[in-house]
Formats: sequence, structure tokens, C-alpha cells
Amino acid sequence: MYIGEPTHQYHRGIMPDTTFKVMPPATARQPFLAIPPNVLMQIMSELSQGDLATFASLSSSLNALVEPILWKHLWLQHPASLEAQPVDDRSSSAAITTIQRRRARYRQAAKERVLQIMQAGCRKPSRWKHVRTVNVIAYRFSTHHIASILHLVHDNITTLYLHCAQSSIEYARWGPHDGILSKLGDMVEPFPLLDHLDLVVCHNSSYDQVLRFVGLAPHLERLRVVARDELSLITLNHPLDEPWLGLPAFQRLHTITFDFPDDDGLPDLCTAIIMKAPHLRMVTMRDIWADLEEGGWSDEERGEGEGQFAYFDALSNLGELEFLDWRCGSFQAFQRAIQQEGVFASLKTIVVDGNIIDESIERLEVSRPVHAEWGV
Amino acid sequence: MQAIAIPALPALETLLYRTRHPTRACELQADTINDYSPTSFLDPATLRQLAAAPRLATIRFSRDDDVDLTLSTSVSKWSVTGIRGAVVSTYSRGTDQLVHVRTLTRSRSRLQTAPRQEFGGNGTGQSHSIPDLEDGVEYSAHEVLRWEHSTSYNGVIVPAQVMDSTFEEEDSGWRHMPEGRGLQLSDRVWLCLAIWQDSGKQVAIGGRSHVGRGGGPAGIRPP
Repeated sequence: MYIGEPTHQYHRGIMPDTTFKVMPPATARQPFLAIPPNVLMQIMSELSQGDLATFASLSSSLNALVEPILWKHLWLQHPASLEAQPVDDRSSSAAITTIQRRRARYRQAAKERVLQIMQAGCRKPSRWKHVRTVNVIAYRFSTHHIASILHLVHDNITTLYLHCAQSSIEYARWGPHDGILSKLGDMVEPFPLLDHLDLVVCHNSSYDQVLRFVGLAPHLERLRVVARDELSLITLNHPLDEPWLGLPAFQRLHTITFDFPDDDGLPDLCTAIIMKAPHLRMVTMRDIWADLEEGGWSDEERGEGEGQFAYFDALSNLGELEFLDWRCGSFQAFQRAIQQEGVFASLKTIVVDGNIIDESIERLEVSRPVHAEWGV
Repeated sequence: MQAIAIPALPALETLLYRTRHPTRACELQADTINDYSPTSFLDPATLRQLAAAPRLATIRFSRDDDVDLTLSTSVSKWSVTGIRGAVVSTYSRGTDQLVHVRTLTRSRSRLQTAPRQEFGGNGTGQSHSIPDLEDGVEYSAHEVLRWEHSTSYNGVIVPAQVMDSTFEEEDSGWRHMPEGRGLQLSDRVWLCLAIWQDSGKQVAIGGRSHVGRGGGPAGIRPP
């Protein structure tokens, strides 16, 4: 549960008991908490896997204590021993589920450990020259470390997964991240060979920061930009009138995916990249619910004859577009846009969010019952 | 299908509609009562939309978020995966055109008050109920998937009996014709359809030209 999440009682409309209760000290409720962690780890290390599984299911307080020390220790020191299923008869299915959950969590911890080792390896640049793919979960590490890695491999990598996002839990605990993308944009040199960029942006990133970073890779072939929630991509600077002016031409870019929640600045971001990528064949624009009637996108505010709105204009100029996943607005607006002759002439597949209730599709019955053929 | 907007695009081959669950029982109720409405046939408006998309072969409806999977699923596996939709085929010779649309859809019937709220299912014969928050009455529905076939010859609905008679000497039945747009048929089929059209069996339904249940004489033979 994250901070602010409604409790089960709230969800069911039952008011919780808010009477103040004097709780006993934690050590009195759970004697294990009084044991020093290193001693506890030594004790637990002597247990079999089955015992561990049973033990782990007994107490959440104990789990909370065991988790950061024992399980990580076991995984990092003996990863193979955790792969086998517990064989102890006393292990219940719940306990097995618990141990599997722990195992998955510490697989992730092990991956992060690998990445830390990668950071340490930055001191030996020769080892990095063969790297082609870099997968960075950025929020775990400092901007300096990420920039160091990217600085070493910038002229050699072809694929970059840069995930700057924070989970809701982390955001609730530690607040927003400090705009890592802006620092990277200033520090990282161009990526001459990068053809696949997968960018998950974090809170406090602005869309012009995203543009600046994407502009470092002029030979992109596939681009995916994802923002997880509405706090992402807050526009820090004033929107640029023509944000595509500073971008290079992405002559090889054929596939882009934008997956955003609602945000006023996003149409500019999409439009900017599309305007610079004349050979796009596959475009996915998901959840970009840009308000078509407000915020300067209506026909009235743009002036008559200036088209429907910006990225429709940009999309309709793509002569090679074959696939369009258009789940980001009303289909009626799309219909209006394509009434212009010659637009989307090569489009073969469209995915739309028709706001159709699934259970209403019997309207598809185009014939009378005389044609009915029962069975499938 | 009249409610389905088909973009008038020359190269369009596949149209995928993402669908959603009803959030209120009144949505379900309003749609349920439209079963087998007299207007639910291959009407001129739909034919015009299909003509404006000359390569459109499939219209798919799915609530699955995995678009790639939905698009790559073959028509024969629609019923298994919960996808529904329509397969559009057209056959032409000169100015004559036969349109064949087969749709995988479901029929539903209103049942008794359901004991509990239950959403979901993949559309393969499952029951579900939705509480009506407006009047406190619950409706439930049982859905049965089925393929339906509809044909139109030069804008006139062709009854299944006529199609059966027309194709009885063909290698494959009319329900299993090769599917696609702008395909060809044998001269005999075109001749039979022309004879049937000239026989004047059409009746009017809802102000539109339509052919009644008994419009096709058994065994149409070319002269």
C-alpha cells in the first residue's frame, strides 16, 4: 500500500476506527526485533529452505527485518540455492508464494548490483568499448554515474533503455526526482550509432528536455517515449513556438511510440518529432488525450483553414505511414481530419478507441436472422 | 454495424476498435433491446462506407490491451481469443458487385436478477450481470457467439436461400468463398444473381430495398 491509498474499509464505505490506542513497543510485540540484525542473519543462515519459507510466512515484522539482510545475502552469495523449490513438507503454499516473491525482489537487487559494478567499471573505459546495449534504470543511481556510463559508450551503443521513472511508492516517500534528463542533456555527447531509444521520463522532466535528449541521436530508427503519470513532463520552460527547429532530421526513424497521460505540452513534443521524421511507417500514440476543443487546439483558436490540430497536420504529411495506433482522442476528430483528400493514403491499419461498450457489439449484426448460422 | 465509422482510406486493410466494459447497467439494457432490430442489415450507408475503403478486409473489436496479439490473431481463432468483428469480401464483374460480410458476434438475452455483480469474460459463452444503479434492478445476459453472413448484390440484400441455390453447383458454398476485396466469381454465379434480381422478389423494409425471407426460389437455374 502506498501513502494516500484508500484502505479496504474506506473502499467499502466503512469508516475506520480512529480511536487512539496505546500500542505496546515494537520489541514487546515482536521479540525478533530486539535481536541485532547480524546475529539474526547468522541464525537464519543455518535454516533450511523449507524452514525459511515457513518462517517467512509467520510474521510481517520479521519479514521486514529479514528482507534487507538475509534474503539479499542469500541471493547474492548463493543464487543457485534459491532457484530450487522448497521441499520441506511444512512449507505451505503461502510460504512458497512468499519465498517466490522475495526471490523476484532480490533478482532485481542482483541486477542493480550488476549495474553498480558497471559503474565501477567506468574507471576502465577499455572494457566499455564493446558495449552495444545499455539498460539503465536511472532513478537508482546518481546523474553523475549515468552520465559517466553514457559518456564512455556514447559513440558505440546502438540501443539505450533509459528509465528515469519513479514508482508511486518512491515518489510518495522521497518526492520527485531532480530532473535527471536536463542534466543528461547537458552532459551527454551525441549518440552517432544509436538506433533504438526507449525513454521513460520521470517527474519534473519537461518536454523540451526530452526533445534535447532525443536530438542527440539523429540516426534513430525506433523511439519510444513513456510518461507514467500526470506529473511527468511538467513544462518547466515556456513552450517553444516551433520546438522542432532545434532538432536534427530523423531520416531513418520509422517507428515511434508515445505513451503519455494528459498534458498540455505533449502535442508539441509529438509534433516536433513527427515533423522531423518524414519516413515514419508506424506510429503509436496512446493515452494522449489532448483536449481538442481547449488549450489552443480548436479550429477557432488556430484560425480557419489551419487544419484540425497540430499533430494531425504532422501525421497527415507522412506519405509512408502504414500503421497508426490512435488511442488518444475521439475518432470523430480523426474522421474529420481524413476528409481531406490524399492524407493517410498509405495507411493500412488503424487502431482506435471508439468508446464502444464491449457488450453492445451485437450491433454488428448486419443481416437479419434468416442468415443466422449458429455455432462457431 | 451502421454505428461503426469506417475511415475512407484507399489502403486501409484492418480496422481495430478498442472496446470497453459497460460501467452502468443502463448501457447494457439500452443495447439489449436492439437485438434483431429491422434496421440491422447491410444497409446502403454501410455499403457506401465499405466502398470508400476498397481494401478493408477485417474490422476487429477487442478489449485486449495487446494490440499486436489482436492484430496477429487469425480470423479462425477469433472465437477462442475473445475477438469479434467482421470479415469483408467483395466480388465484382463490370458494374455488378456482390458484397459478403460475415460477422462474429453474439446474441444475448435478459435473464433473471443476478445474485452478484460479475464483470469480465472473454466473450465465449459466459454469463455476466450488472447491477442497475438507477432503478435497483439487475439484468444479466448470456452470450452465445455465432457467425452471421450477410450478402448484398448491387445494393440489395440477398437471402441465404438464394445464395444456397446460386452456389449449389459451385465447388465451395457461398459461406466459404475465397475472402478478399475485388475478387471474381464464375459467370454462372453472376447469371443466377442477375436472374434473381430480375425476378422482382424484393420487398421494402423500413423504406429501404430488401428481400424477404422467402425471396429466393429454390434452385435458380440459368437458362
